[in-house]
Amino acid sequence: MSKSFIIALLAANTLTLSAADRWDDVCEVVNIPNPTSPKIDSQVGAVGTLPNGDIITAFHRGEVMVLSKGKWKLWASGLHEPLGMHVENQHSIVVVQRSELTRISDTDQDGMADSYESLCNNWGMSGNYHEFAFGASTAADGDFYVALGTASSGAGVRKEIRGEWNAGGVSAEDTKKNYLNATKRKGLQRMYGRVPHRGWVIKINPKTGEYKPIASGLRTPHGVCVTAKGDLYVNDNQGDWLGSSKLYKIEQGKFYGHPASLVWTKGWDRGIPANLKPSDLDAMRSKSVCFLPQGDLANSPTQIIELPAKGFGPYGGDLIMGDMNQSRLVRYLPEMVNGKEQGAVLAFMEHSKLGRGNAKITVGEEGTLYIGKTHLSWAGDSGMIALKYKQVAHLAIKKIKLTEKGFQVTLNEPVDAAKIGLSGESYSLNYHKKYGSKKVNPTTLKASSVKVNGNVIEIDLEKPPVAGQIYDISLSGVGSKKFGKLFEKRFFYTAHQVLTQKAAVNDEEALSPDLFAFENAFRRRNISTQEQAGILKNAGYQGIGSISERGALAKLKAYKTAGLKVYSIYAGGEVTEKGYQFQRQELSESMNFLRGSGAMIEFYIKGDKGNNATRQQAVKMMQEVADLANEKGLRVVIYPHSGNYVTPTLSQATTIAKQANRKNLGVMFNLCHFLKEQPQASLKEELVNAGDLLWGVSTSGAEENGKSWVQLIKPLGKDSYQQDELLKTLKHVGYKGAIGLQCYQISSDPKIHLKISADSYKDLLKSVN
Amino acid sequence: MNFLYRTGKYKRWVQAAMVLALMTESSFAAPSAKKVFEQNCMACHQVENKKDPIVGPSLVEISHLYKKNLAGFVKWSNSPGKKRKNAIQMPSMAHVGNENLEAVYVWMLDVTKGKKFVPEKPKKVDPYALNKSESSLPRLQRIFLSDSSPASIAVTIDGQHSLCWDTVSCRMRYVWKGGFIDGYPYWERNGNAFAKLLGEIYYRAPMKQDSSLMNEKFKDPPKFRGYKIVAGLPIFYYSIGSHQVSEAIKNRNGNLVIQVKIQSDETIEGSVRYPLGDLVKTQLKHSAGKIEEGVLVLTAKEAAGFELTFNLKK
Repeated sequence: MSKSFIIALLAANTLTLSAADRWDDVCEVVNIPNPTSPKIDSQVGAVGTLPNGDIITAFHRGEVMVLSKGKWKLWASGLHEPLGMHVENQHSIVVVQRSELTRISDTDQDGMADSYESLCNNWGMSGNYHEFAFGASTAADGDFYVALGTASSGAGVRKEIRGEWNAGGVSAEDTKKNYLNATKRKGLQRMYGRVPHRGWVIKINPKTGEYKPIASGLRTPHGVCVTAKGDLYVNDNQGDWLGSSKLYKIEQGKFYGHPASLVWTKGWDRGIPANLKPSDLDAMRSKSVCFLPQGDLANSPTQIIELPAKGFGPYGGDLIMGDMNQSRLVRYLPEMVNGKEQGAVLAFMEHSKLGRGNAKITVGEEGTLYIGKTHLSWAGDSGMIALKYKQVAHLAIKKIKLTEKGFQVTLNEPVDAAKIGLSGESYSLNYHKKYGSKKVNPTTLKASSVKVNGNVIEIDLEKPPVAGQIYDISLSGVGSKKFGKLFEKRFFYTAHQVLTQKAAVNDEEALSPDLFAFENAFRRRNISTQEQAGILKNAGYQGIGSISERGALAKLKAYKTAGLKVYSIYAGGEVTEKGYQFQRQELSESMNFLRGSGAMIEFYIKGDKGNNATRQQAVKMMQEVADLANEKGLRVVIYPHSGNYVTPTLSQATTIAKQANRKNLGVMFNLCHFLKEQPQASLKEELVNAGDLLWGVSTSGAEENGKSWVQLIKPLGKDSYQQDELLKTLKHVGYKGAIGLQCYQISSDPKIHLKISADSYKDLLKSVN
Repeated sequence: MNFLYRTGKYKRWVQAAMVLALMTESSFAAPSAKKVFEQNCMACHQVENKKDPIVGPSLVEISHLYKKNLAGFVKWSNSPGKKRKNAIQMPSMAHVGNENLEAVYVWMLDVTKGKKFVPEKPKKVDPYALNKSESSLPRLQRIFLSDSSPASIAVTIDGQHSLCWDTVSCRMRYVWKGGFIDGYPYWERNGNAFAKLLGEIYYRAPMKQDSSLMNEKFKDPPKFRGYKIVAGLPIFYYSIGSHQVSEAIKNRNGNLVIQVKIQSDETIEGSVRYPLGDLVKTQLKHSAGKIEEGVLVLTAKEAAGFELTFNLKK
């Protein structure tokens, strides 16, 4: 090729030389040799990471092996298609098999498992091959979530089944005949759920062996993941009634669309669900938080995990999942619109050597994913690889927000304001009995303007976003001199909801936050924790919170014994220009005790708000505190405090939280501090500005124009300045956290004033809803 | 750059540059047929079926099947039927669009040009079959077994003498001799087949539902608790109400032994009954109790711990 030709090409394509311009530059694939002694079918069913760092893998035919220093060693065997795993400790794991949730332990620690304890064995099995069981992510209370796949009309059922038979009112004998007979099966619905609770997510109590059905409407729910925040995500595969694969955020009691599972709804008397009117089924279902477009992105999504904060650069804390069919992982970026979660998915770590069949994922050493592959008789692969993230700086999309005119895309670094192009299409998918869906009314997208402001790209589309559409958007020409061009530039946003000019009050969900009392209600009152529990329960509080640091661990233990739920603890630190300090030891102990409980850490930052250096130290301190909390599955909120503090206002706390950039770090709003610091400010603006970082709120009765704490911290009802505005705004932004009642130095008898406040709170909620 | 204006070379450079331009920028121009194939078909259809896993017919075979039949090809892609018994159901490709499907058809004919379709040889062999010494080890495998519940466990004491234990009715369902199981039919078909029994069943427990361990106090159905492994063999644990039962499987000189122990908080009253099947081919020894009308009847004291020894009658 001549030099001139190369120059011509370069000119035509404006290639920018950079350190990273594709996934192969920022991650690497290391093949892991398959076990050889014994030589086994290396299709992977489940993976986990042991506390000592070794990887433990359950294989298709039931062997469990440990990968230690590059060598495989057999640990357990005989399992029935293990498809999910939870590591309990170095010698014990919990596995989801086709037929049961099992705790497998090496009780004598001789290197081979010897105990296979059946934790739950009573979900239905018809013997149909498509009835897979997936899981097993744990809830905060130690229960296990398992998702049960439906049966396929491609095969029948057995004469002897496990569980009762339910065909929506049609007798077992009548329907079973059809399912046992291959030719009769042709006329039946594609996927069915005739035994308990196929097509449902269930919550298993490992101590009793019983399960609670949580939500229905699933078809083949491969990924089941509880995040650090306590949210349960499940994905499902394209098929009958699913236009494309989807991601759901599961809520108790909801139906997610695939009808087969409906027969197990309590009191079901409407016959075979697939025969109902599609419009009826459509009205009954809850929607996904995001579609994964077939062919374009993923065809059969698999395990979902939450990336740890450290080791994955700008992707830390994001939700990712695998896919069987396409050679990439998928990353999900959520947001809240009109109080409901929805979001976008993008390709992730699409290394040229990743391959397909990426079924199971676990995080090994920092920045490394261990991926197990499988195929069965579908598309895929086998064996394991290590996918390592390399700390090579590059541009990445961090956040995608729907706006009234289009989208706001936030990157991890500032972008040069060069000419950015947009291409793409929008379309919808059908919800119908048929398998999959064509793209309905695919419409080419055009941008009317694309503006860059630092690291934020503001896209206005010629036609503003319409509800019910999937937006498949690619951005070209996004780059910076320092970090090269954005190579993962395509996202798929599911706009179930769109923003409207007027706030749609009818669409807002009712506000119903739990109410807890601040511990300071009982300060210096000499009331035992038992009695405190009694007072709060009688008055109608859901628990107690803002437990102060002094002697916190002992208090937490006492509250647990008294059966009182703890919503938060109150701690803090101090910053100077040169550094910061906080009670690391004591805080860690409290966090350890609260592990997985869903309690939050309210954290104040003492120090001078006036200069950059102290603010930077504040950011560093909050990063460390958040990382400590993340290890215990807990969240932290910055507590705005009036006076000599770095964040006297919610806005200042929001800024620090955003700069610290931790998935488990948010902010809290305290009414008394707001009224003390900024009585003239707009409460609504402060709250809206905090956006989806607002995880905590405290309130108290207050006098208009109050200046002292005595005037600004009173029981609710006696004075309720700004309560209306506060609750209305919380409803408007779709606040899902709890509300704490601030009781600092209230002089009257707590037994009395707590009851008054709780009753006023109930009335206030009624008037707002 | 004068030389570029020589007609022939100029055209080629421009074409190549345009192709390159299309390749480096995201193309919302129509995706190439090859791209459509890669995104939607390649996962299950190889050009020639040379690499595992083989999911659907190769492009060579499809070109053969749909020779001069573009319409048939598009129809099938939009609404696939099912012609292959052992293959999975192909999902609809309606989302791809007819124009793209037609383009893929044309591309497919081109890419398979000159390759002749040769029908596949039948009968696959299990690539992970155990060798002789491995297959004589005592072990168990949970898998779909016929004539038992879907939650059953196959156990072998020595690779030759084996039983099926059902975790739903919490009892042994049958015993066979002459081998263990071949799980390949099950694993190869995603679980859409039973494991094949190697050898012959010589003893079957009664098929009917209420044939588990019985006593007038045992009102609840048995509940499976799990098992422990000792020297490769299981001790099954289950409870009947407040009564805890264990059944240890043991090898005594090639005989298959089931050692039953019952522990109770409340005392058992009356007799404990263990229903038996047809013994015509079975040499059964029992350490306690009497066989009455096809049922082993034990006193409460005897039931606390007793053994059954099975072997094929000579």
